[in-house]
Amino acid sequence: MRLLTRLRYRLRALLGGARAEQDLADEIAFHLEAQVAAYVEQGLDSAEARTRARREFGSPDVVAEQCRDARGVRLWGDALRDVRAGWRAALRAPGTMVAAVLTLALGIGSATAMFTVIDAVLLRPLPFPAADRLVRADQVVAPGALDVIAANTTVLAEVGILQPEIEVNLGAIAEPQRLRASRISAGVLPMLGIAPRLGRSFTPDDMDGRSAPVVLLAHGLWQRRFAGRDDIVGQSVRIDGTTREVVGVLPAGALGPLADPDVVLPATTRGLPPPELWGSSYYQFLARVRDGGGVQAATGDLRRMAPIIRDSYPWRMPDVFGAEIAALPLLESLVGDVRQRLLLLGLAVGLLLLTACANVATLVLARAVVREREFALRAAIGASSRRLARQLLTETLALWMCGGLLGWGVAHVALTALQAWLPPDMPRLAAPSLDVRAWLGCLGFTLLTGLVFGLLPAWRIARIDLLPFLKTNDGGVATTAGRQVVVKALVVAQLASAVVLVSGSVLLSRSLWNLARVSPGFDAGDVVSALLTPDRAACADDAACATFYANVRDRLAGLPQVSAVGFASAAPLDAGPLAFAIDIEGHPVAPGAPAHTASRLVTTPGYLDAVDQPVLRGRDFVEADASSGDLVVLVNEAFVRRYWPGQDPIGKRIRYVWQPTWRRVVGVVGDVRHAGLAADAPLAFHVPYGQDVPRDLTVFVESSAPWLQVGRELRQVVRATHPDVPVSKLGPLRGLVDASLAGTSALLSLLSAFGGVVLLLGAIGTYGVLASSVSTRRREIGIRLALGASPRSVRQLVLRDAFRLCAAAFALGLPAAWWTARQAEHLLFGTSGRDLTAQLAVLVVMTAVALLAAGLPALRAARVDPLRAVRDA
Amino acid sequence: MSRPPDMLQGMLDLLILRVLQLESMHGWAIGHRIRQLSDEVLQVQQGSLYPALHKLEEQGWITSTWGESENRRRAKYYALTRAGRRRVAEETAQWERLSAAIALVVRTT
Repeated sequence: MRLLTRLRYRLRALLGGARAEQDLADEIAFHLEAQVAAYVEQGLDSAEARTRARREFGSPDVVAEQCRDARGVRLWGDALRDVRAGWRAALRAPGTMVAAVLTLALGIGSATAMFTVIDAVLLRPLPFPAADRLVRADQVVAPGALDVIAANTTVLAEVGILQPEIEVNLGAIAEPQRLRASRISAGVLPMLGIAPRLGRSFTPDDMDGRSAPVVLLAHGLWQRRFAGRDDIVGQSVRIDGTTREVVGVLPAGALGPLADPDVVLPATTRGLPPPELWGSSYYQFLARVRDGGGVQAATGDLRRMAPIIRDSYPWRMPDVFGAEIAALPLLESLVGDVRQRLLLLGLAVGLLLLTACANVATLVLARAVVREREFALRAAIGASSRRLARQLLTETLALWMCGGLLGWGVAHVALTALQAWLPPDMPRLAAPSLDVRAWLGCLGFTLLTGLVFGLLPAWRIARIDLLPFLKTNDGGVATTAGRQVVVKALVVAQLASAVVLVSGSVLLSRSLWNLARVSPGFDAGDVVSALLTPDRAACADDAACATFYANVRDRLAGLPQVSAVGFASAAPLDAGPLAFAIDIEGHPVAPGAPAHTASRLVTTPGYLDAVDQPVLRGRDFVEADASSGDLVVLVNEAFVRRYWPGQDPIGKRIRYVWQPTWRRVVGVVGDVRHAGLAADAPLAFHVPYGQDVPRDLTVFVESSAPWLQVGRELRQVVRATHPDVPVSKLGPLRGLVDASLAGTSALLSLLSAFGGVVLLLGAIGTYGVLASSVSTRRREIGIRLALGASPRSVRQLVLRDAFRLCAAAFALGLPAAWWTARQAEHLLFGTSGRDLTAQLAVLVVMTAVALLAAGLPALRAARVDPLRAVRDA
Repeated sequence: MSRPPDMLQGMLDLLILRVLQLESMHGWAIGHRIRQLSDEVLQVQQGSLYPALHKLEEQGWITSTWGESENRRRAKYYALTRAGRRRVAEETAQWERLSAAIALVVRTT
């Protein structure tokens, strides 16, 4: 009740500000009149009564002020007055204030944008019901394993498998079209809480490969290709040469961050020949943990089932197969790789914000010194130092609010830039938008930094004794020593932030340089590659397929300027070939030991020529290998080093674990870094096309003609050979090499951008400190010069200051930089946080910046006129 | 600028509340009545009366209304609230305990 009264009172006093002021004045006036009347009654004449009453009452203004104080609403009125006063003061130095607001806007805006990205990618829950109980296995599983897991689990309530990104052909209506597709098991959609917009989901019957083929359309394709027609359900579409019935349409963005397909196909988990069901296609395993069970329990459950799954394979699997499988929370498994990169950028932006704030805080401090006389005057007429500190804090906060307001605009631009600059494969990157959370973040950044950095000048003004100013009429010398300490600390913080960011940028550019110089094991120059995906229309059986590819090859080879044509089942550096379990003659696998695995690439003659991958021993495949019963393979150097060091590998034999027939090694090829430039080349073997018959192949054309022309010709050739075969992923092979560098280079450009801004702010801060130190030490410098010091020594005096600041920044920044580099180690390649060259580079950059920032003040110091300096000061 | 010591401040609050216990009054009359009742011993600093009144009002022990004074001028009248009445009782009891204790000490030394 009392609280309510007080609240009402405050509110009334606050809202009826003018009214309350009038009431207060009236009340005091009434009192004085009553007192005067009382004195007149006692016999005083009215003039004397008035004087006496006034004297006894004291200053009405002071009383009114005390009343406002007592009411507790004074803070608000004062704050408004302070803001107005600050505004007037700011108008006297508009340039400085504009610079300050812009600096703050930059810092707060980038922080808000970065926060929005981090929030959207790392923090927000997935858009699925009870998403915290969804897990994904860290190993892929064969579709055949799903039934085994479903039958044996005790912890998982729902299970499903998902192949998020495959590609399929949509039947030729006008031109054959390549679509993104996902394969899912029937359990996935209910598990994710997704109900179809039209029609039905998959049923277990759709998955056993016996009922009629079906397909679900995603919202986008349904709109694009089928004009959003409701009667699409029940109609047929041709996908990869198979006619499938459309059984439903999914809502827009249904699978969220898991996949973004055009069509969704049922995963076949039964009824296929064993190699397909158990050996050649792999899925991500998704599950929902039962109430009460956790991720730990799910992992335990999967490991417990490993032997059961292993025994279900139609061929013998190694005894440790699946023993290390682990369940990860779905969100974590989606963002795992990205977390570090984002946190690194978050750190960079945090440092940027810190630097911007420190920079502006030094400006505010400098302005406070200019205004010390004003403050001293106010202190003299009775303002308490606390009151002055509050005024300064209010002013600073108002400045910060301006920065924050403008920062909200900056955040829009920064977010767009971030989204464009960050690698597009970053999960959930499309999602960020500036919503309420971002707004709160922006407000939080503004208030937090505003308070922290606003308290600094306020604290200073509250502590110093202002009265001497008035007495001595001295130009502010008394306080500068103390002020300089705070300002210098702020500048050191800025420079130290710059050390961290510059060193990060240097390390990343070293990594990029190292990566770019890594030989991928092939020559991408003058090679154009494209994925050909003939479906049953062109590839009814293996022989038809072979004919199709042979025709394409012959036509391409007949083009002018083409020097080599070849096919392979995967393009280098692009996802990479799958690893297969193999037996190696002479290397028996002990019971319990893992099977040998190696990456398999199916190639044709001409492939090695086209990409300039060397044959080190033996021979390349020849045309005859395709049809000969003599099964042959090529192995790479890494394979030989691992299994046959110092031996002649030609004639040795390997085989798939599920096949009895051995394949003879006929040649050794150079290593190719399939998994990316930063990773070592995997053990690999090549199988000639014909002895294995994958349907989709990537074609490689080496030609001296411009790649666009080659690409055009390639498309024409494929269309002329068979009109229904889509050509996708067409581009110069060089593009795949560049793409492999894209992640590092995106990170590098972002970090360098932040580093550059921070460095610039640090330089400005250094310049400000030195310049103001020179101007306040003019008298001292004048005396030195008058006593015979050389201008050179005066210059050195200033430069020494600059280097001291730099040295302090180094002492602080380097350990921080080392720590950061250690946290982000796997983003680096061929270098580390303790890289001496990198540290030297940072040293050089920082010294150069310090010199630049110190140059002007140093020159000015040397040009001080001793006579004038001593006289004026 | 300097505030009266706490002891005095607390005493002034008590005096105001005590005076208002009888009837509602405007500020000048409160000061006048305190002087009268104390046989001119307690001279309330006029300037410090109003901050005290505003503080008491803010704390909800008294309320104010604008009314007409004896000489037909607009004046602000203060009256005790229910919480204020309780407060007077508490403060009075406390004051009596305190003054009795002080009296004891003063007499024995």
